[in-house]
Amino acid sequence: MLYSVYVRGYRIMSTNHIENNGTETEKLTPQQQNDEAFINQLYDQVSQEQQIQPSELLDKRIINAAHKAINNSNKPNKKSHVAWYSTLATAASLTLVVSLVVLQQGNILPNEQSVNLQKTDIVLEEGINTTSDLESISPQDVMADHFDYQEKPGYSAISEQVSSSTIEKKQSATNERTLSAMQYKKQSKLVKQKKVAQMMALPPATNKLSAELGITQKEELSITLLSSKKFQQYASSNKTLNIKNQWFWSLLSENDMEYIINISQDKQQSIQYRLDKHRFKVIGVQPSDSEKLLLKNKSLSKILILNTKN
Amino acid sequence: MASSAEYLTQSVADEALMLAYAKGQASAFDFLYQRHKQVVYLFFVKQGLPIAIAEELCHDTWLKLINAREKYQPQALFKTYLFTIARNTLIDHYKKKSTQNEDNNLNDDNELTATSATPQLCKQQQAQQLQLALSRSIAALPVTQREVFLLKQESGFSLEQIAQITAQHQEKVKSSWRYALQRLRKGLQNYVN
Repeated sequence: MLYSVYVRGYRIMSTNHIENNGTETEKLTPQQQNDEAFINQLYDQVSQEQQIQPSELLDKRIINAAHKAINNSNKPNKKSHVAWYSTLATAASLTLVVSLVVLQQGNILPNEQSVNLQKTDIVLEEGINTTSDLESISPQDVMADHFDYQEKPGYSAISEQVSSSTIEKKQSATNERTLSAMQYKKQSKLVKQKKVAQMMALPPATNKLSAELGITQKEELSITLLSSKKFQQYASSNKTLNIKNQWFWSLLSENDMEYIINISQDKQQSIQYRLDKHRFKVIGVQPSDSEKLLLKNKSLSKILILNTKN
Repeated sequence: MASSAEYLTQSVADEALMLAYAKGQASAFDFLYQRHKQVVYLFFVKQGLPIAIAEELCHDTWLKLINAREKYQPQALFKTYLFTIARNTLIDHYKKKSTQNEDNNLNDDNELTATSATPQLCKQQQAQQLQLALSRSIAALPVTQREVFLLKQESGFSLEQIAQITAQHQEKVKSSWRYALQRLRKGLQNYVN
């Protein structure tokens, strides 16, 4: 009885299965076929009662969503307009940035080190041994660019190790930097000359320090310009004299182009000089306590003057 | 493109309807939905899920199909494609709800046994009771067995197609099918005349 039910159930329910997987049922064992028929029979019994359907609300939601998706896709795409505008804005921004960078590059000053190369030739000192001070003023790496490795005996060992091609590259790079520095210096010189011309046109009272010291521009022009040779004479004579008889330098005033200094020797002699700022650099040096006693605490007792150019 | 009249004849394949819908023929979807809405819905209901959740998952499945319409390519049967989406939706649901504990419980041997199939009950009542017991037994199956069973028994897929949908080896699918049958038969033995 059960077997006949099973056969009937299997045939009824397996119509679809034979279409899909007729080979599968052939491979099943009798036990599996029996189980499958059993389930089919159960389904056969409940199939007539089974009318489970999704709710109408769900049907509407899904179908509406499907229609809405199609309607939205048929509308003109707003994204394309946005993409067009954004592309244009990006291109405009890039162009602006690039042009600004290019314009800025024209105004960038040459490397400070290249400019300093010109000031490392000769340094003179007065009163104090300034070897250590000189090192602090001119960085070692800048100095190294100017060393001639072949001529300096102290660097012979190094020069043997360094290949000639490396030296050539370094020299060419140095030359390029020197050239650019020279060009910059020429330009700055022109600018300064223009400024001096403008200053000459202004009334003398505009130079505050000079005005305070009662020195007019006419007087400034009448003061002798200190030459390097004269400066070296003072410096060499100071080396032979004791500190009481030495020449002392004091700064009276300065403008963009020149310093006005006073050179005196124990109040007996006093001479004013103009120092070209291109040639000399004046650095204030605090006197030591012993020197203060000797100089009776007078101000402007000592300055360090560096001759930066022959 | 197929016209609406052609859709009514049921002769147009699911794949052609889906392609027509992807090209903008909204009415094509209506026919597709009418053809498959029940099997998809039953697939979720028979998992033992509450009706509200089953409807939500059903909605998600069709929505995924709608959103993926432009990417659809008829490489396999449309029904296979649809049930792959449905299965993924179900897996996502399980992941969200962290149903690990539930799965463990389902793996236990807690089959429902037919307690009483008394001859006093009328035929309609017996059918309702059988329906309830069958649903409970299916819901009590381990996830993999239940999945294979429903896809084969309710949705009419072959084992090969199920292997394709579930991305499993066909032998494993066959094994799941066999164990599901054995377990259901054991639990529902008393309901067969």
